[in-house]
Amino acid sequence: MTVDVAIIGGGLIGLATAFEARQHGLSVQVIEAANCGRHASSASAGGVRSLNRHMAEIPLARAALDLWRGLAERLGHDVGFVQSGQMRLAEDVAGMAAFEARIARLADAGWTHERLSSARHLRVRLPDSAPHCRGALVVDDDGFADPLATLHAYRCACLAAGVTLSEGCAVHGVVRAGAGALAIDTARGEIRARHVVNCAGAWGGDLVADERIAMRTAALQMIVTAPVAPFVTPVIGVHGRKLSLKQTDTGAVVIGGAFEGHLRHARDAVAARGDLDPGRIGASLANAVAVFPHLAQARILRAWSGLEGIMPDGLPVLGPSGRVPGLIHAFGFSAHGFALAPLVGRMVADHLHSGAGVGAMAPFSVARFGTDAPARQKEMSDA
Amino acid sequence: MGVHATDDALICRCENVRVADVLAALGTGIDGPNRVKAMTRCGMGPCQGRICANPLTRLIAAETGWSPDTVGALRIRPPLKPVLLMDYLAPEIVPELSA
Repeated sequence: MTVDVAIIGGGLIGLATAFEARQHGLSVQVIEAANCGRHASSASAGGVRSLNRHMAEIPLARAALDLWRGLAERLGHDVGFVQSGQMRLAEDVAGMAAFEARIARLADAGWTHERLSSARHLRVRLPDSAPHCRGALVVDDDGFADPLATLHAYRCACLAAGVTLSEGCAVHGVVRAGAGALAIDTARGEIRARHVVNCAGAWGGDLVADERIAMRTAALQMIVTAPVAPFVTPVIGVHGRKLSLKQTDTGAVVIGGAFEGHLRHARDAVAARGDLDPGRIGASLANAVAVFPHLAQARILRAWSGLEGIMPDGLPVLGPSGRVPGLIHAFGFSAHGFALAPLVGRMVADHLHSGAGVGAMAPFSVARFGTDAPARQKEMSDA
Repeated sequence: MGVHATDDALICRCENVRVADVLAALGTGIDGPNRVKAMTRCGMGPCQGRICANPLTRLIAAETGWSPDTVGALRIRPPLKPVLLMDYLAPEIVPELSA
């Protein structure tokens, strides 16, 4: 049996792609080495952010926002989406100058969703922020969602829609299998598909037999506090600091920000894990109290980690392989893919359905690394 | 807790998770306490599973027929009990904050 679409990787990107492909009536099988959302999807901070995005990603992030608004209804499950806004604080004059330059650059490109907020306005909006903060870059219609709820929603929606979900099924490699088909070598035997979507996250590069893609794996760390009194609505970032901070409706403060833990068995998608680094958790917390001093009194409840793939330029690999007909890449979201997942799923599924969307994916083509050129007999292998 | 807990019995007081929520999670094909936790928030509250970890394992065991040892337990996340954020910080930062 040959499925229309086999998706390697059952994280949010893979599940979103599976769900949307199913809406087009395609037969879909998701192949996941561990369990759905084991890594980056459950170590996500859940930011739905267009603020301070790379210029190339802004069109995707803005389009994704429209989908987030209707996502719970589309999936039939709550995803915890809150349009809370996002703010990026500046602690000094240089930070404000960088914000002004960014606003100007955005305006040149026709974007008006970011605005610059004064210190006075910041004080009104965030009375608990440290007095040295000079102002903020703000997007009012950004927000956040609950990564685990979103994962659960997509997984249940996939199952209800008739997606075949193969969890605990590691992929060893993908080869061409005659005209119009690909063969995936898995722990449970061969799976044949007309199209294969590489949503393997931190392992996405391993499926492309070209070590010139200098992808890096990061053990992202997240921390959550016991509930504290409400003090912040928007998601907070800070210019020049690694910090992402938000308060959920329960009062818990969720702190992330790219301080990394330690990789264990990183190349083995089943055994891989991230071990926490207490010193770097301290560094994350220090960044949080630098802008919200009262948080020094909060209690840390839990910390966790998951692995994510980081591309050299910080942009995902999205779009058709130049080398293997029928293979589409959607990996390497470099720790900011959560917000894009609903849109990427839609884009890839639309492409599978009608061939559309190549132009929109072009800035993210794997070809930018000079790889994926037509080549070898065995196109991809397990590194 | 025995195997006869009613569907509306609370299993996780911190996150208000009921037996029925856990059974619904199991019904989607997941079978381990850590995955039930991720789906239902069972064990994610202030007590970090101190109350619900054992009942959760036993409920899954009763449903699946596996032994509690096979089912396993909720993964323990650091810190083992809630600690003040300031206790994580370098000592030179803390005086500034309380000033």
